[in-house]
Amino acid sequence: MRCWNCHESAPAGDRCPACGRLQPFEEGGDHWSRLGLPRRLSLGGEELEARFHALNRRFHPDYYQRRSEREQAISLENSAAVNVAYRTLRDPIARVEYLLGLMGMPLEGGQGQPPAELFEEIMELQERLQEYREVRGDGAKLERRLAADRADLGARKAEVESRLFGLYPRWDELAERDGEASRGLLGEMRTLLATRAYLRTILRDLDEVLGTAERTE
Amino acid sequence: MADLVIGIDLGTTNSLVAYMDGDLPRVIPDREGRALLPSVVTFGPDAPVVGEGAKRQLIRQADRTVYSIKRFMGKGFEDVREELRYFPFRVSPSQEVVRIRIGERELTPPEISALILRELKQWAKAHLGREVEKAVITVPAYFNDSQRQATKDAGRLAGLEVMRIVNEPTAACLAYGLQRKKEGIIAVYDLGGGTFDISILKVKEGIFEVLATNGNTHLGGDDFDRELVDLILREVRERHGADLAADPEAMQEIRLGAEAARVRLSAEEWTVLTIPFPQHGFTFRREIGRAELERLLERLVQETLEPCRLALADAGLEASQLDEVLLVGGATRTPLVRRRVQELFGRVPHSELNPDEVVALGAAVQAHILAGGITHMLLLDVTPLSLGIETLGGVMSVIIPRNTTVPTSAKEQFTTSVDGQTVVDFHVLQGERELAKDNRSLARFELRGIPPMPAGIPRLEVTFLIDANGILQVSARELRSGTAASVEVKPSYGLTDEEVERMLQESYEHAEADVRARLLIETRNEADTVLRATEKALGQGAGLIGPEEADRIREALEALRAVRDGEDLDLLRERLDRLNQATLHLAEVLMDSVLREALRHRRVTETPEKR
Repeated sequence: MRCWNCHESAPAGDRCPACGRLQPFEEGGDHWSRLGLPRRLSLGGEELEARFHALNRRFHPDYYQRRSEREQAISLENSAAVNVAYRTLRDPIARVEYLLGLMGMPLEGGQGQPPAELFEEIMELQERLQEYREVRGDGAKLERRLAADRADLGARKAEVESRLFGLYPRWDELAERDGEASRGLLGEMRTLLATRAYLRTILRDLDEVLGTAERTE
Repeated sequence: MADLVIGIDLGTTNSLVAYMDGDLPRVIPDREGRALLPSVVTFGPDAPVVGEGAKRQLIRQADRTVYSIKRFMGKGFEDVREELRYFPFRVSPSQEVVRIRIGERELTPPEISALILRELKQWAKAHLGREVEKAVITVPAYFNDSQRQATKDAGRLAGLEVMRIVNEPTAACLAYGLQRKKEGIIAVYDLGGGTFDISILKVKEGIFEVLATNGNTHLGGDDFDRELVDLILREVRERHGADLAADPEAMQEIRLGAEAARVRLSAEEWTVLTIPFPQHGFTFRREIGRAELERLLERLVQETLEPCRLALADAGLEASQLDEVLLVGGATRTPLVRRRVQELFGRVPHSELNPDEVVALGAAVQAHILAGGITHMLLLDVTPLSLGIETLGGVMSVIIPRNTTVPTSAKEQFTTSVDGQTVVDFHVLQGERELAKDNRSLARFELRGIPPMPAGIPRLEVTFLIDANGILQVSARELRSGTAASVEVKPSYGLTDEEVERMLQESYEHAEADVRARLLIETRNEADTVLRATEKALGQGAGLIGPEEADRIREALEALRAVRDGEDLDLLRERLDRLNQATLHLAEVLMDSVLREALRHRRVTETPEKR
């Protein structure tokens, strides 16, 4: 692209080599491109943090206080974009959800239907929760049962997550050579995410009822 | 050369100003060498007085002397209603911004804070020998948007360009970081006069990244004192049958006595509370031990621990993963606070730097970074509270979650619900609760200038941007037509730009009136000197000039005397000049005669040059 100031050729999201002015990011870029990384699901925390720090050293408004208003605005926008990108990509769940959105396959909002494999179990659990809330039946016994349910569901959530994360390197590999197969894989990931979201909601309900100190993420 | 930018800690109890002296931040003292400016303003008959002078008026002029104004920054009347009974000054009931009533005047908290900032600006100017126009001002990390904006407004009203609003605990961490160059995970526990913050930072290769912050903007040393105040009021009622709560002077005596006793008990095991009430005819006297005080404070100290746990959880850390705990703020001198902090984090907290000064020192460091004087250090702070909008059913929908690194931005789309609608409004909130009404209302925004289209067709993209000060900026555009929509902001508890403008104008006018008042006094003094000198000269030299000239001088002298006590500065100046003019010749004549006299007695050894 062309520098907004001197009209020489300048890279987006960096300083113009000719006049030194900061350039905005390209329209339509994504979180990976803004951090200068290839679009991959497997990302190392250290690598991400290093990019985050390096780019904040390039863009942070602290360094542009004595520059023109235009450059200050670009610095503000660029550093906000980098911060949002880092926040999204460092969380492996937010990362895949963002990718699904980019690929036009967003996860539907709301609770949706419980996953088929868990349907019956969850119905029974909901009933127990209801009983407990209304203080029917043997409180202590129900509480023990619910605590056991919580442990069980927590383990399932962890299992779903580990299956999901296991697909990340496969998608990274497929995305480069087989578009169709990689889309299929994304569909699989979306199903796992929906199951996870459902489990998370129930775990939160359980935590609330049991007053569990431990927080469900 | 780097610009001069000062760092200001605008505190609840005391305020400080600091600057970078070479490589080290340094606190700037006043002429008497005091570094702490009490955050107290008294409105006497003439100009307002700030600091020690105002503090001395706390009892005698209780209803005209304002302290702890920071607790009112960015607040509405309803927010502060409950604690008003502890304050002797009056607050006008209003829907929006708190207004303090001083005699006939009503002043907002930013206007009062501006007087404190102006005083510090003067200190800096006097000490550094140059004008100071730019500043970094610190605020509690847990301050919301309105409170930050109010602080920025105060700076503007004080004639300062506020380069950055920086969080107090992070500023403190910068000051420590500059001096010790230690890296790792650091928790900063900051308990000041009126606010509490906990911030957890990761320091790596000069980058100070805040991982999480939490706190309570209404908890500090002031609240500690109130526990003691309540105890004293109760015992006075029991022993003397007097209810002092409605007596502003007595309340101020009690508050100052309680504060002094609490401070003494940080160093001593026992102390005596002695508070005389001459107007009520008795003196309250009582022994109090540290253990008893601690029983009173325990609940408040416990209240600081939950935010610490929440901040750790948000940072995804266990207490054992911390490398260091820093103590900041005067109230951390309390031994109970130190014990509880040590128990919670499992390590002895650090407090090598003066807890009263460390925030101002850090502000000076950040100021120097902004001025281009330091390039290896960079502070990445977070927004302390989730930002959201009110959606159907009064629920808050989060747009930017708490503990997001700033600057940050998020986009949200809106549309119309009626055909031809040209205005869309939305309500912006801050807080962590589900329901809009339980969160802090920041402002109502109105998007105007939407091209008329059928309902649901316009696509309004609103960008919410939180800048490095933690302050929200909102912009909007209609995507179908590509037109920018104008955004009108109605702050819930803040001043509009127009109000700040108007106050600024008024303060200029006040400043002008002040300058005029001073000139008038100076000119009167000058007139007195000239009147006296002329009378003396006439007495000595009347024989040396003609009677007409002497009459002219007498006439000019009387003309000046007639306006000496008037308010008309220009007229006074004019008559003073006329008299000076009229006496020129007399002065020359007198001078000549004196010279002749002197020459006649000249000593032989004296050279003319030496005379």
